[in-house]
Amino acid sequence: MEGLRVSDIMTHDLTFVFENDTVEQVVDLLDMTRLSGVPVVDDELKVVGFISEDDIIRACLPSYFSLLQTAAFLPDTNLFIANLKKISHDPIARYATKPVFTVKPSDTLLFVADMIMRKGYKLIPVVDDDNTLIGIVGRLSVLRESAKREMAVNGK
Amino acid sequence: MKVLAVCLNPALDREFVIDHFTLNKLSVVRNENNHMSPGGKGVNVAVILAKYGISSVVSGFVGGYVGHMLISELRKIGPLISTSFVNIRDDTRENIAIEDTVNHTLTEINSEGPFINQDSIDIFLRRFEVLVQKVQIVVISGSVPKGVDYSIYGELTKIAKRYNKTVFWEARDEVINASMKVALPDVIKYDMRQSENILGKSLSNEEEYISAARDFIKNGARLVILSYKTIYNFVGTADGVWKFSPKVEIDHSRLLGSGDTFVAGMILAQLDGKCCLDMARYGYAAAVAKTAYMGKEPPSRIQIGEYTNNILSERVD
Repeated sequence: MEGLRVSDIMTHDLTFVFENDTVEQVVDLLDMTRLSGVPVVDDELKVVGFISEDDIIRACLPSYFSLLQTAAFLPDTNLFIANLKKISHDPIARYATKPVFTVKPSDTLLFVADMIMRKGYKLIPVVDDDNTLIGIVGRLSVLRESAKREMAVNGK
Repeated sequence: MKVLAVCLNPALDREFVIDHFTLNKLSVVRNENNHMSPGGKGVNVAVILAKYGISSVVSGFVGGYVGHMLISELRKIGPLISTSFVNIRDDTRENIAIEDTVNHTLTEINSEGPFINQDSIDIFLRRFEVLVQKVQIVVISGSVPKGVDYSIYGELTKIAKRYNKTVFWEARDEVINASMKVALPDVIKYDMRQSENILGKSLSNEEEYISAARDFIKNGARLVILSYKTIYNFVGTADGVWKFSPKVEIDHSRLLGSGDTFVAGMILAQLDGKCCLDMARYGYAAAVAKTAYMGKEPPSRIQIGEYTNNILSERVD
C-alpha cells in the first residue's frame, strides 16, 4: 500500500459545480451522478471548496443539532423540509466546506487512507500544482486498489 | 489534457455476434460474442487518441443507467481520458448491432436518444468555457441531440476562439450549415455517411466538390475535407484544392471507424506541428491504414507512416 500513489487509484472525473450554482442544482446533480459530494471550482477550474450531501443536510437542521448530536428532539421532518425549501435557491458557496482538503497525484495512498480514517472524507478532490481539478479519489478506490495488491502478492 | 473532445450525443454501443440470427427465436449469446463499448464520434476520437498516448477530456450529455454504463466503460480505457459530462434525466442512447457472420447480415437497433433542456445546455456551455482553457485543441464531432440547436458547434467554436484554440469539426451538413453562420472552425470534415449534401446542395461531380472546398476556405476555414464516393476526399487549404485517393484497394467492409481515425490522425499531426495539407495527408493515411484489417484498434504510428506512401494527393485547383 505504501508504494501506491493517488495517481494509481484516482478517477479522472471532472464533475464539479460553481460557487453560484444553487443548492437545488447540486442536490439534483448528486442524485443523478450518485456521488456523495462534488468539488466547487472557480472559472479557472481551481478548487475553492467541496460540497457534500452531509453539508446540505447539516444546513437544513437547526444550529443546535450539532451540539445535541441527535434528531430525537425534532417533532417531525417538516422543519427539515421547510429549511431545504428555504435554502434551495441559495448559492452553494454558502454551505460548501472551505478551505477544502485536496490531494496531489504524487501523494501516497497511505496518506489518503489516513485522512479518510481521521477526518471521515468520502471523496477527495485531486488537484495539480496549480490547484486545478484533475480528478477525485474515494473510499472505494482505496479499498479496490488495496485488495488488488494483496491478491497480486498472494499470486491469485 | 491536450484535447477537449465534445460528444453531445454519446452512445453505449452493444455488439452481438449471432450466427443464423432468426426473428421470433431465442438466441443465447456467448460472452465472447457480446461486446459493450463507449460510442459516439467525439468519444471515439478520444479513445483513439488515448491509444496514441494523447490525453483528452470528453464532454457532452449523459443520463440514466446507460449513461453510467457509458462512463464506466470509458474509464476502463485508462487515465488518458478524463470525463466531464453534464448529467441529464433522460437515458443516453444505446446502439445495438446484431452481426450474423454466416448470413452476412447486420441488424441495428438504435434508441432515439435523450432530449436536452435549456438548463442543461446552459450548464454545458459554462462548463465548456472552463474546460476549453485547459486544452490546446477542441474537437466537436457527431450528432446533435434533440433540444439542442444545430448552431451549437458554432456557439462552442466562438467560445473556443476567444481562447485561441484550434477547433476541429466532424458533422453532417445541417449542423455545419447552421453552425458556420456563428463561427468557423480551423478544420471541417464532413460526415457524409447519410447524405451527400454540402450546404444544402446535392453535389454530383468533382467540379462541384472542388468549388465547395474553395468556398469553405474563402469563408475562413483553414482546412476542409469533403469525402467523395466514400474512399476519396477533396481537401481544401488556402493554397488550393487536392484530391486524395488510396493507392491500395479498400475493403469497404472495414470502413467502420475510419472517419474517426482520420480526425484523430489529423489531431496527432497538428500536435506534431504539421499544418493543413500535411495534417490532412496524415489523417487520410491513418484512415486508409485502418481499413487494412478488421477490428476497432487504430493503426500504429509506424503503420500510419508506412501508409503515407499508399495514398495519392493530386492538386486539382
